Amino acid sequence: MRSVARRTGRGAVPAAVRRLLTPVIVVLLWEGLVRVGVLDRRFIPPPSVVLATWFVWIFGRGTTISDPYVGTWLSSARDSAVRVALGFGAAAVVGVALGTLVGWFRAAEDLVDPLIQLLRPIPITAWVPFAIIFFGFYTMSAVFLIGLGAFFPIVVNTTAGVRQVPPILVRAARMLGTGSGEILFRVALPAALPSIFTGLRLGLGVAWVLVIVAEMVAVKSGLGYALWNSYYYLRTDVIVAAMFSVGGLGFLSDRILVRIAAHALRWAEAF
Amino acid sequence: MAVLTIENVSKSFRDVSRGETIAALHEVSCTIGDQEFVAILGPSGCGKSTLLNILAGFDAPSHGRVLVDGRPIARPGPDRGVVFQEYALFPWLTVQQNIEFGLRGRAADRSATARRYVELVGLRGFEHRYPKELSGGMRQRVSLARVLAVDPAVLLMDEPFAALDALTRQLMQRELLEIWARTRKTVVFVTHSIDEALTLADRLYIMSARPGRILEVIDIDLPRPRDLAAPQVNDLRGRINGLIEGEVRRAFMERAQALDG
Ligand SMILES: Nc1ncnc2c1ncn2[C@@H]1O[C@H](COP(=O)(O)OP(=O)(O)OP(=O)(O)O)[C@@H](O)[C@H]1O
Ligand SMILES: [Mg+2]
Repeated sequence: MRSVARRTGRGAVPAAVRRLLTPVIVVLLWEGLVRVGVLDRRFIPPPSVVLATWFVWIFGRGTTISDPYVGTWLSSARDSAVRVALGFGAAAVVGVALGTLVGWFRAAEDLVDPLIQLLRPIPITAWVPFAIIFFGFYTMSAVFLIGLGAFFPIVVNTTAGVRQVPPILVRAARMLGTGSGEILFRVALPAALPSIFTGLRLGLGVAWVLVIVAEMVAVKSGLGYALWNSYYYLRTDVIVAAMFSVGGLGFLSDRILVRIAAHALRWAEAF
Repeated sequence: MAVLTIENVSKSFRDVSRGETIAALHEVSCTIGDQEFVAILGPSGCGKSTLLNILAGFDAPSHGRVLVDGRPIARPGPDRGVVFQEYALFPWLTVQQNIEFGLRGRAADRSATARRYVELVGLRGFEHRYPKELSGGMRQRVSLARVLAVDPAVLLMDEPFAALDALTRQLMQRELLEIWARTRKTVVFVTHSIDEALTLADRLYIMSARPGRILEVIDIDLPRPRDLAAPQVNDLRGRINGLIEGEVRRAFMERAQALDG
């Protein structure tokens, strides 16, 4: 009863206001504590400074050549986004294709699945030295790490989705004169689509984690690189701005994927 | 043209978890003539779906053989349409697309053909709905239309109306009889309802409790539409009731004994 009363009673305050309240309070508190001196501004920059730095980082004109955080945000963000797109794209193509084969064909399962299960428990970060030795300090290292990391959730979820195709739908298709090859495309894949999208979403999240890891150690550009490099200059304002930049881009790409999924899965019972 | 011949068919399943073999069908033989409407009645678990799955070509018999027009059934095919109890619609396809599914590379004008069947089952205006947006009765009609659209010689129906309310059920029965009268297919109709069998069928196969055998064949030579209150129908109903009751009790006792032992 109480929760019902609470649910109906809060109609007076608009949802947007209610949802923004806590973040706003936290930010104000943060600003206040730094100003008063409770928090040391050498270690924790106030939000106002972070915002100013961020603004300059995005829109500033390169007057002081020595400062890498003037007007360079867009190219850093683009570098990171391109790496995520390449790695995630490759993982999506390979992961869905391989997952479908493994889920559908016994032979593919026997040949490929053990290898996947063998490699999957290795944390992707453990691949970093190998990636650098193999690909050098280039974008390819980052794309490899991102691709590998995103590949596992995609392939595993695709496999599970294809395995769980209701047998009665396969029977229905066969009864209607559909050949086995056709059934893979006309029944198994669409039926597995909800699982596939789950895998893609997980993979995209992993991709954003790994682009930062890769740029911290293996590539010398992008938001991850800016984040790590600013640490050497003790530019905590840049660190915080970079953190929220990555978070924002990750959030944005996830929303886009969710939009696509909502459209592609408009037929599904619960999505 | 389609004659179904079932010769000495037995079917057993291996229960892997218990290491037992379950006999589902025991030496079933019968011939279902061209354009006949046949109903199969029997207690739950007696092997009706098993028999239908064998006729559809989803499963092979352990012994014996099944033939369509003298040719052995090896696999499912569009000459034998199946209406599943669970509808088995493709949820990612609209009503129209579901009905078009089996028409790939067959009809020159798929969408016009599909639309004809949408109308036939009274679903005009719902062509672009997804299955999740339909009621149970509507889904069942899509499932029927999907099969009718490929124009199979045989219609295999597994308790197709069991999940429907009494009113929708009557409506669907009437529609099915109309379609059958027009297209003259061979129909094998599994049901739990004696009245449904008496409404629809030319002939009734009553099966025993598991392992399923054919206990009795009853011809129903009454003109349609049938009056279920007519004295001949009452006589038949009484007879069938007696047979089925005995079988259900026997099945129940056997299960109880199996549990005790
Ligand atoms: N794939 C299978 N593996 C093991 N046993 C099975 C399998 N399919 C059916 N059986 C068994 O065979 C028997 C007959 O099953 P079937 O589904 O044909 O019964 P039914 O007459 O259709 O029952 P109902 O009226 O409840 O639908 C049952 O005891 C069932 O447990
Ligand atoms: Mg059944």
